[in-house]
Amino acid sequence: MIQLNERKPILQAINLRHEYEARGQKIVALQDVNLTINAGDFVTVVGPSGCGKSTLAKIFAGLGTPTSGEALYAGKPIKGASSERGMVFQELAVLPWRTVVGNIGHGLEIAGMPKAEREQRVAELVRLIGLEGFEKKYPSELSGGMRQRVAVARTWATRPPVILMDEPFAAVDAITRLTLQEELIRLARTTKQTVVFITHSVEEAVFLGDYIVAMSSRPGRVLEIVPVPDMGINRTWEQMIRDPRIEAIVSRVFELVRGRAVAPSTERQHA
Amino acid sequence: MVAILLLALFWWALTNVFGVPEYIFPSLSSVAAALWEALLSGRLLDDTRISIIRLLLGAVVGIVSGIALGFLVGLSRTARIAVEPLINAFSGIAGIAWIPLALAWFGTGLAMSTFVIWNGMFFVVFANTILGVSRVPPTYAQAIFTLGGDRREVLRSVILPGALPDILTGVRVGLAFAWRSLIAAELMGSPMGLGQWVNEAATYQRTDRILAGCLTIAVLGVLLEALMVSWIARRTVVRWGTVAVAEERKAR
Repeated sequence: MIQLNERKPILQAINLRHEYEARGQKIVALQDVNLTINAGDFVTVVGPSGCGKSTLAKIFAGLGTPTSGEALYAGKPIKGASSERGMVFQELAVLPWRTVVGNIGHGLEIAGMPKAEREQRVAELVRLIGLEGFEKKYPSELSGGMRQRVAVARTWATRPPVILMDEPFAAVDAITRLTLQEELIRLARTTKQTVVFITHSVEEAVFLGDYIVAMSSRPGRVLEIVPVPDMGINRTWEQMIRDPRIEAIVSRVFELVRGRAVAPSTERQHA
Repeated sequence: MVAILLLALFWWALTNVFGVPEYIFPSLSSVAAALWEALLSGRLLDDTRISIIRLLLGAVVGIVSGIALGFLVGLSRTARIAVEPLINAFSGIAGIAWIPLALAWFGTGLAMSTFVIWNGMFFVVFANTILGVSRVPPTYAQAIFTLGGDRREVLRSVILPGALPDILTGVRVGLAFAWRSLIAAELMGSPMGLGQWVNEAATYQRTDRILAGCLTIAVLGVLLEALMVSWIARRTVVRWGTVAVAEERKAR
C-alpha cells in the first residue's frame, strides 16, 4: 500500500490530551492520542462530530496547544503555525478581497517569490484546478466548489511538506464533492504530497486514504488504524464501490466510529 | 430623486398656495436669489472654502485617530481594559458642550474647529472600527498563519480589508457628525464659514439666507460623502461582495 514511500515519520502525536471548558464544564476533546504519520502518506482521520479530529488538525498546524503530551513535526515539537504545515479549512477561508490569482499566489508572495516566477506558478495551478478565465474574479463571484478549489490551490502553491485538510469538502454539494475527491487524490499521488485529511464521512475517508485513523467521540481517542488497499491514482468512485474489499473496510470503519465494533475496541472501552 | 422633487413641490406649495409669509418660510425663488447673490459677491465661495478646509482637517484627524485606536483596542485585550471605559465615558458628552472650552483653549482658529470636529467624529469611527475588527472570521487569519504569514501580514491583508465595511459605516456616520460639529463651532464663534454665514443671516432675520446656507451645507455633505465613502466603497467592499448593495439585495 505505502511501501513505495520512505517510512520517515513527519508528524507524531505522543500521548496527546486536549481539554477545554464549555459552560463551566470540562470537556476532554482528545485523550491518549498516539499517532505517527510518515512522509508521503495520505492519511484520513474519521470520526463523529465532537471526536476532536479538528482539534488534532489544529494542533498539528500549530494553531492550538495540547493540554498535555507532545505534537512533533520532523522530530521537533510544534510551536506555532508555519508555512511547513499548510491547512485547508472547512469554512471558506479564501480572502474575499483577493482575486483567484491573488489568493492562490498569497503564500508565494509571503515567501518572497519574485513576481514573474510567482505569476507563472499561479497560472499553472489555475490550469490544474480548471479555473482558466476566472483569474480576476473575486470569491463572491465563484461557486462553492470553485472557491474550495482556490483554497486547496492556495495551500498547494507553496508546496508545504505537510498539508492538513479539515473537512474541506463538507460545504460543497455532493456531486461536486465526488469530482473534487478524485482530483485531490490524483494531485496528491502525482506530487507525493503528505496529506492529513479530516472528515466525518466514512466513504470519503476510505476513498481517499492510504490508511484510516478511526476515532471515537468524547473523549476523542484513536480506536484503530485501518489500512486500505491501493486503488491507484486514477481511482474513481464507480470502481471503488464495486470492490468487495472496499465494501468490507467501509463496514468495518462504520462499526468502529459508531461504537459497535466487537473486537478489539470493546475491550479497550471497558479497560 | 423623486423624494427631492416632492420636497421641492411641497416647499413651493407651502409658500405659493398656502401663503406662508416670507419671513417665516421664504419661497424657493427668494432662497435661490439669496444663493445667487452670495455666489456673485464671492461670499459663498469664501465661506464654503474655509468650512471645507476646517471640515477636512478635522475629519482626517478624526478618521485616522479613530481607526488607529479602534485597531489597538480591537486587537489587544490590555488596550481594551486600559482605554475603553475612558473613551466610553467621554463619548456620552455632547460635542457642543466642549465648544466654550475649546474657544478658551484654542481661540477661534483652525485648532479649535479641528478639535470640535474630531470630538464629533472620533467616537463613531472608533466604535465601528472595533466592531469591524471583531467581525473578521478567525479562520481567515489562521489560514494566513499556515501560509507562513506573520502578525503584520495578517493585519495588512486580513484585518484591515475585513474591517473595512464597518470602518466605512463609521466614517459615513462620522462625517454627518463632523458637519454638525463644524456648523455649531462656526455658529458659536468662528470668523467666516457657512455656520457664521447662517449666524449673520439670523442676526438680520434673513430667513432666505439661513435656508440658502442650510441647502449649501446639505449639498456639500452629500458630495463629500460620495467622494470619501461611496467612491471608496464601490471600489472595495462592494466589488468584493463583502457588503450587499441595495439593488443586489432586491434582485435576490
